[in-house]
Amino acid sequence: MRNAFFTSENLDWIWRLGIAQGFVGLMLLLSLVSFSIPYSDSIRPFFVLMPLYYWSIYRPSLVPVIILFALGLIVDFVSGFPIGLHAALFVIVHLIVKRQRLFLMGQPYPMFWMGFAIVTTFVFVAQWLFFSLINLQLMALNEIIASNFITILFFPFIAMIMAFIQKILPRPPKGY
Amino acid sequence: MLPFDVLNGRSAIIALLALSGLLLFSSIINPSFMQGARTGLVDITAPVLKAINTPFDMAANFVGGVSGLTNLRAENAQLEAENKRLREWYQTALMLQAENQSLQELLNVKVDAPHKYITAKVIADSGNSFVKTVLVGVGQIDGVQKNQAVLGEEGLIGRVIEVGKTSSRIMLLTDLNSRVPIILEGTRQKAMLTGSNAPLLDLKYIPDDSAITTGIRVVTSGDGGVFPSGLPIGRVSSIENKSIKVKPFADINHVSNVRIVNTSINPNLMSIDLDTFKDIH
Repeated sequence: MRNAFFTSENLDWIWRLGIAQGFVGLMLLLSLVSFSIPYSDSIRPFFVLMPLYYWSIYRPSLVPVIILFALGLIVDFVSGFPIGLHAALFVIVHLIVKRQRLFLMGQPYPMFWMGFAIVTTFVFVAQWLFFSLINLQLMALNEIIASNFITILFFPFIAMIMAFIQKILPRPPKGY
Repeated sequence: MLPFDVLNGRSAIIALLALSGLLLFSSIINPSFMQGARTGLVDITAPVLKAINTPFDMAANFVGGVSGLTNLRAENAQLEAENKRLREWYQTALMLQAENQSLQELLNVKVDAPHKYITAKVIADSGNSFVKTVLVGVGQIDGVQKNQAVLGEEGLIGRVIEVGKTSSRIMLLTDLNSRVPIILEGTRQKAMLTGSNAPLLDLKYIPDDSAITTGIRVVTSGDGGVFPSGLPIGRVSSIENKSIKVKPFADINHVSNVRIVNTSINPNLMSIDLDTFKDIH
């Protein structure tokens, strides 16, 4: 008897979604790996935020909160952060962006980009506040500002790749 | 309804946020909270991180090689001069070694055996300015243990804080939580070297009347038993009011290979070949 699940239509749907999810995984790994470049241990783009923002607007079904929670936990586990920090941050970012998605979808690209700038700034400021509080001293701001700046600068390049992936994605169900 | 829709609901979000808060609170109270899970996950991701790091490493080496070609002539002249100076030092070192050995024999001194090292490659770093740690691709199966000292090319860079089966996490000297007991070379002044998430390190607990000048070498004192004594760290770079800064010898911001001081091996215990005992019985 032929398995109804493994139809060519379903397999096509799976590999297209696999590319989108794989790209999120790649961005996660780029956020964790060592670049062998001076100062990249403290100043670098926070790559994983880019697909999180983009898909929360254009295809929220690709990044359900449970996946974002798991991604956040992986960042915390591998990067040596207190466990739960990024899990919470990613869920909060998703909530905020998802509420504004209809507004952001209708905006010209500079506004869409500015939305990302606001999201990354929120994440970096939240990290800074958290570490300043638990260490009972104000943490240095220069490296955070630099990381935030290059994360915003890198976004259009990564967004271009995600726009291409979006074109090959299967049509979302009604209401998505 | 899509499969994940159930987990996207308001109650699921509240539950996940509450769980994050609980995990966060637990890991603030107890920094080693879920350490087993952390090292387990790092062990799983380590091969992938190693594979992704390889092209970046190759690119960095290539760029370093190409930019090095342009000043090859100047570097060659500098190395020749340095080689000449080191040859003179080599002769002096041989003479001092012989003198030292004869004096030790005369006084019947028990000398510390030389250190053994585990060489490792950095596969991931924290990538932020709040936590200064790196992951290396060696673990328990290679003989790494918690609290072992870690050296860069020119001096101490940190210590092992978590050990998995195939990977380990190193807390760098620059981390806010790093504390290393040190001694200022040429004096008997001991102190504590602390990190502040900045490139320079801070010297703490120095008496006001101590005669410290810039340029003094800072080495590990061995107090507390975590680090072996005499490992080079850096030099005092500035003294302003009560703030004394130390510049590390190693380039801590750009570490790609490290040496872990293998204190688990006791060099005074010789390994034996069990086959040699077969003939006795």
